[in-house]
Amino acid sequence: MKMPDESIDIKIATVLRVGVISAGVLIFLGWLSQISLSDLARRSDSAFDGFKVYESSPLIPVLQELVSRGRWGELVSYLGLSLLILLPVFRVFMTFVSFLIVRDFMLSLLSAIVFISLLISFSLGLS
Amino acid sequence: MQELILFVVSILAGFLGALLGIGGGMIVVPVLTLFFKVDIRYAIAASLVSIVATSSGAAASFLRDRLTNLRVAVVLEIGTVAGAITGFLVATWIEPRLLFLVFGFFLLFSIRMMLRRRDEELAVMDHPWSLHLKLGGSFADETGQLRHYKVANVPAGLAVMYVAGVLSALLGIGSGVLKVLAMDSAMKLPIKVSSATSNFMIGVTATASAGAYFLQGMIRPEIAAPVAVGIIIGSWIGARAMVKMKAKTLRSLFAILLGIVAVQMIWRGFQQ
Repeated sequence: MKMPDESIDIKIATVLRVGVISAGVLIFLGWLSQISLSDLARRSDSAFDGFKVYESSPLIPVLQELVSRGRWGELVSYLGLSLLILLPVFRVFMTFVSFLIVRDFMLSLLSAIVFISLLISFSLGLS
Repeated sequence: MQELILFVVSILAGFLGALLGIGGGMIVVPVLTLFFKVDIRYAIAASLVSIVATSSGAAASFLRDRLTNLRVAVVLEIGTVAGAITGFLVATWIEPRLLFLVFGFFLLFSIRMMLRRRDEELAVMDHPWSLHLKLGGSFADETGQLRHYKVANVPAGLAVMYVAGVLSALLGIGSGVLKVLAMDSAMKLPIKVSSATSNFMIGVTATASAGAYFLQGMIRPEIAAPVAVGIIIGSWIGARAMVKMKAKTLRSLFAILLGIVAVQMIWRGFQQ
């Protein structure tokens, strides 16, 4: 049974580790920048009032608005979240590559299918 | 103040999740909806992000320890992502209160699974940095015992994976319980390999729908940030603490607590 090259696995593992930590730091810093000012002043019950009822708000317009208002703290959080979500996509892609390298074309095809399925899944969020 | 409470609760959720092998998502979603009164859709989206985080961190360990069966993972990921796509589409159309019902019943199912696996308590960990510490001893046994190519069982495994994917997208959980079930019972993999591979796959399943929810704007940093960071920290601590604690008693106590939560979720589902 052919298993993918071990050295690639080490590289993937490193990227995942570093990726999670980096994303976590970005998300955390972005979050801190948003709560430090209002957090102390706020009374207990109102923090999540805005989320009691679901309101549709597609991501791209939201990001555009944040940029235009210079809200970099929140954008840093969004960046961290994007990084986090993309890590498994990267991992699947590298799995595809590693199967190609050992010339296991069946498994590389299946990996490619998983990768494309992920992209399709993401695109559903845009409609 | 409430943000801090959420953050601390998330750390606790990650910690308990790592200790007990039950996903942090199953704790966080009820807390967000029942306590903070957040709309369940925001809760699910936030939970999924933290699952991606813990799974990616764990995947790193599994790649290094070579307990994951990458080939099985790839094949089953097709089923699981297909399920996630379906689940996301269903989530778009389904009445939110039905999500409470499904969540509550799945919690009951998970409790039963969690209690059944008493002797396997280490193997069903969802957050397996701790597994990385343990694999030194047991790994030697498993070498070469890669008895997984029973073609007859793959469809069954794929089918369960599909359901796992649907539930993951629908409820904001990792469905690790179902994945291990598929590989262990249906596909007859050794338990260590099943759980390693399952945890390896969870990130892909979760991100399939997390990405869609993200682009739809359902992942809000105000909620997702404290939850994700809290769970990352909590599961890291939990992985370290696991060696010292007696998980069995904890598991029974936790089962009771989760049972109460399950009933509350179901009740909420009937209410609206």
